[in-house]
Amino acid sequence: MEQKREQTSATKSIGIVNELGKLGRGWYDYARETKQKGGHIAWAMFGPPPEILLALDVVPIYTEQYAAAMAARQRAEESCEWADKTGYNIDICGYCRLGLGYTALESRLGHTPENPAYSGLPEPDILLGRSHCDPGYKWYQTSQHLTGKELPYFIYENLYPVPDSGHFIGDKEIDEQYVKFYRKQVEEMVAFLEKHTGKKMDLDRLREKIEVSQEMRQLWYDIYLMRRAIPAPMPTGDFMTCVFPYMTMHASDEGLDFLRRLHSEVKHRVDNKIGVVPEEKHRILWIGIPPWFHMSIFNYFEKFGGVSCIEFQYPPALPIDVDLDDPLGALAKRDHFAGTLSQHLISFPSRGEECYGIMGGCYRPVRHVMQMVEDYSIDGLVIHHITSCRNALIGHTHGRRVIRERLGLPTLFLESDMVDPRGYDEEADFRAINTFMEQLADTRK
Amino acid sequence: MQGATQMGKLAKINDLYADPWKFGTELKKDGQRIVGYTCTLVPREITAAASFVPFMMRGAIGEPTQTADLHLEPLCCGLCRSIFNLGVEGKYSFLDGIVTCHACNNMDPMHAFWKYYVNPPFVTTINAPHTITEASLDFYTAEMKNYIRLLEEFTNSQISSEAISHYIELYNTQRSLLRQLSSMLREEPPLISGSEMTRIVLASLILPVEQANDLLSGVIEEVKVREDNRPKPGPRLLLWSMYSDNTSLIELIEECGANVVISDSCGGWRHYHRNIPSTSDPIQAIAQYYLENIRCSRLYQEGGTERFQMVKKLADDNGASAIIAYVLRYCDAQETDMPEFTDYFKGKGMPVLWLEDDYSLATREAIRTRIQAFLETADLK
Repeated sequence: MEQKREQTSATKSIGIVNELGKLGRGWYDYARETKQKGGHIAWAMFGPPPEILLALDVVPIYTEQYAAAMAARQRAEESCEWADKTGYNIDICGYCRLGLGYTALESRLGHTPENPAYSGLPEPDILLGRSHCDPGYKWYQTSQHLTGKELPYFIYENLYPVPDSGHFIGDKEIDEQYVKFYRKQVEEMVAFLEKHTGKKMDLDRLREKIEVSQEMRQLWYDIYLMRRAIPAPMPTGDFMTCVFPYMTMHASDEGLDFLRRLHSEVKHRVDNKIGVVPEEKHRILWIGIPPWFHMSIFNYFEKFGGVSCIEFQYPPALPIDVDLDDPLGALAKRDHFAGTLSQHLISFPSRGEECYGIMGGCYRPVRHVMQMVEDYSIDGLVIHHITSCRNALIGHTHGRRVIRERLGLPTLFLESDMVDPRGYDEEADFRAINTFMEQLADTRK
Repeated sequence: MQGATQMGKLAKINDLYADPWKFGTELKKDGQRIVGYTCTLVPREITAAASFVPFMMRGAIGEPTQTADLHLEPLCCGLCRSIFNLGVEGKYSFLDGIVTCHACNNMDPMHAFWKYYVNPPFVTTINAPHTITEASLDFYTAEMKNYIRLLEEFTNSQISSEAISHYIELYNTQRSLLRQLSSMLREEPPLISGSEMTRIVLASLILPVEQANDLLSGVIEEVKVREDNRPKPGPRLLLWSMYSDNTSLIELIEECGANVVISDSCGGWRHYHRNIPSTSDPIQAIAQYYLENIRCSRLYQEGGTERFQMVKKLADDNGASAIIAYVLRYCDAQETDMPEFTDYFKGKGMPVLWLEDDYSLATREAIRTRIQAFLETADLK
């Protein structure tokens, strides 16, 4: 049922988040300027080390993030419709489908579609995929068919010893296997980029980028821990928006500057007990990718004194020390022990730890959700069941059941796509939230 | 299916196909140890070298999955759901273990579901790369060693290199026998039907390899001499699909008067088109074989639409003049390929019928109508 929604953009709690529109436009302008000055633009999936890209003057444009931005600006429908017309099934990952639809439309028009985010997706010179989810390597393979232009394409495979497989990070043979694998991949990636940019990797420059990245990772992790505070200093809606500078602008000075200021603001709020709502009554854990076209949904919970104070998606990597004498080795070790930007291993169990199964989001164990409930003093779960992301959604039913059995927590199930607003029923979600909040209020008494 | 004049070996194949779970239970009673697997990328040679019977797991197409639905969301692959449903309902209780694979986003978490709800004694998943590079080959070779190590820990016995080489030889023999049978489909009309060939492949994937090879040899001899139940002439088709664990669709195609002369699927050609080379490093040979030769949509292949030329060659080599693509709903990899796939074959003048299903074939009659219309409009009658 199509509706005109009252509120299409979210109300922010964190002040610095209001700068993100400008920051985002700035990044895309920077990409275009870099290209004009002899640099290159890569369409990339989160996963391949951005440090390597930036050290070679290759500016990454993360098309997943672009899809989210289009949805947040209420500009997703046309691209989604074009994806349908081009033959891409509605069940395919929403990010990928929107991206392919956008590309198909642009190819058909011969110019940028009307009113896009950030003045449109800059044309890439290079493509970089990843492999932990199927669209991660299929998207760019397919987009080349739509444009008729074959581009250099490298896939950075992010593979992990998954929970319940019998293999663990910390097992000597496993660590050696995976570090060696990542080492070889970063070498292949450097060779690939050198070939297609005509530039030679400057290891000192790479070291600088890794240092920036290390600090960003530490700040992001610190913020993650600070959000345990009561009242919650930063809601999920603001966090999800800040994923842009953390991931898209990762290893850049601008991204680091933003993270430092964000860290400062969050710390200030924690130190001064500044919450999101005047009276925080309910603390919610949000599971799943948000509905980017309806970020104001988080504000709806706030009307009841409910704050989504933490989320299961996009957690930080555990900061680990790296040896910058060998920067490629440092990246390889970090990707195995801590995770890439798309796969954060903070939740992976050690040998002997029970997982209680997997709850989506790249093999995340249910055990981790249970730990978060405790760490963040959670009263209720909201599971956002993204209809087009198998990677995120498989495990929600199981996890909900386990958490209900073991912790007795009230849980709300919402369902929509992450970017495609067609068919979304806001009123139905509000009714469900109303009931859920009453349940939380009853539980609180 | 078969008439009153069917001979012993083909009848045995039909029995194995009709109720693999009954056969698995009998194998277990006979003292065999059995490890089920859910992806063609899982190396049978290593499983067998550990003294287990590798058992390709199938779903029960069209049957309800109420038990699985309690634990697994509806928005995921119907095949994975069906296999899991059979597991939680006890149909796979004869298994000593299960091995899945990092095949796709649907299959990725399934080992954890099996561990939690079914809990066979041995559970693991194999991390299969999606690319063919030096790094991914080294990695997959190490994964083979990991798999060996886990099996050794589970069985408390060593798996020798000689044992692995021995099973490479036996499975290569099986592949050769299946290629012989497959060549019979090149005749016009074919000497065996596409549904028979699929049943033969699926039966061979649950038998101990020695028994399977013996049976396949017998099937070859029977088919050579039989006069009854031969396929009739008809349009010759290639079936392109992912897992393909049953003959329901192929039988429907045959009812419409066409013959599936080659099945590029995991119930077909992908299992047997090449042999594993004999080398001094059998583990590396296995890794390289599986990584390079199991080519479906989940493998990234370079070359744009030219990656489909292998499918075109397969069609040409087998005299197929059209393709039916069977796409399981929620399969991101194959669904993303499909517009490009159809464009490629349109450019080659080869008609493609794109059928999407949720593994139930619930719209069987509508699919029949589409196949009939396809055969007519593509002038394939």
